[in-house]
Amino acid sequence: MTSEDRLKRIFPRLHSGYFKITSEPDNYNCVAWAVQDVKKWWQPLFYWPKEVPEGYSIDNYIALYEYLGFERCDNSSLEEGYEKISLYAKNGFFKHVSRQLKDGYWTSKLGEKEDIKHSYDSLTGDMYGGIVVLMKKRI
Amino acid sequence: MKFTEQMTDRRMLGTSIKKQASQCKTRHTLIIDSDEPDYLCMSENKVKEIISNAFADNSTTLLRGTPELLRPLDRLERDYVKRYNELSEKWKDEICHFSTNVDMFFHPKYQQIIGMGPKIIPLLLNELKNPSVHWFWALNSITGEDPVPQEKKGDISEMAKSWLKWGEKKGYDI
Repeated sequence: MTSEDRLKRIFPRLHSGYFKITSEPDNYNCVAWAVQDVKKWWQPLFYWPKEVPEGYSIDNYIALYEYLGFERCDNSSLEEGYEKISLYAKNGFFKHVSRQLKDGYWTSKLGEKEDIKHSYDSLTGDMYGGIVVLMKKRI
Repeated sequence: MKFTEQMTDRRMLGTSIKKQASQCKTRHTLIIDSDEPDYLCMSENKVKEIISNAFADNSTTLLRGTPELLRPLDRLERDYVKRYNELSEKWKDEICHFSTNVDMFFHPKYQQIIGMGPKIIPLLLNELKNPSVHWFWALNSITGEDPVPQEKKGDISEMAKSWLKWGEKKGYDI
């Protein structure tokens, strides 16, 4: 089974949208990749800013990205001068975060596996739940 | 010698050590399969000493494998290693796309690994030689210790180095 086939099996919506594997597996996670850090694994016990309450609820992760300069926004469209992230959750628990690229596609680090470039909502489903919050930061 | 019989009966070295000895007459060739779970850490010199004693001969050659390996395990230890390997392989397969501690480390198979207790510490430390995010949580849970300095948190390679140093200080032969 190819890596592409494996990903399509786990994220069925990748069948219908554009996606491309853009890196090898490495020791950083989606939380780090959202802020373009490829050196760390961002989680409580690993790296976590001491100013942000530790926890695994979506509210903890909203607080994390607010601390990093993001603010909530209400749409996923490309916006000049801003970088956007989409936060995924299931049952109130954070599951994943994607970052918007300059061409309007999104980039995600999938656990300890690859980075991929993908359409906005093609990772929604059983694994990561749904997109519950959009945030943006001026660049 | 018990050690030799164990190796022969359980194909611990890939090929019967006795058969090799009879073929080689004066020079023993020891092939170590680094995936073989029936050994824990022991120095290369200790391995040579044991094999030489087993065959009352004066030379032993290690052809391949991890030279720091080896000591014969009793049945209970072998069961632990086998169980650990089974659980960890299944767990790794199931969590590889997860990013959060809740999904990775509260996973039932991971909790079972933690439940195996201090006996698996050498196995966890050995896995850190190829650093990944996998085993810091388990080591922390089992030992109650956290040797990683604050400034190195999140850097998986540096965290692994800190735990390996901890292991050496505690006397684990890794």
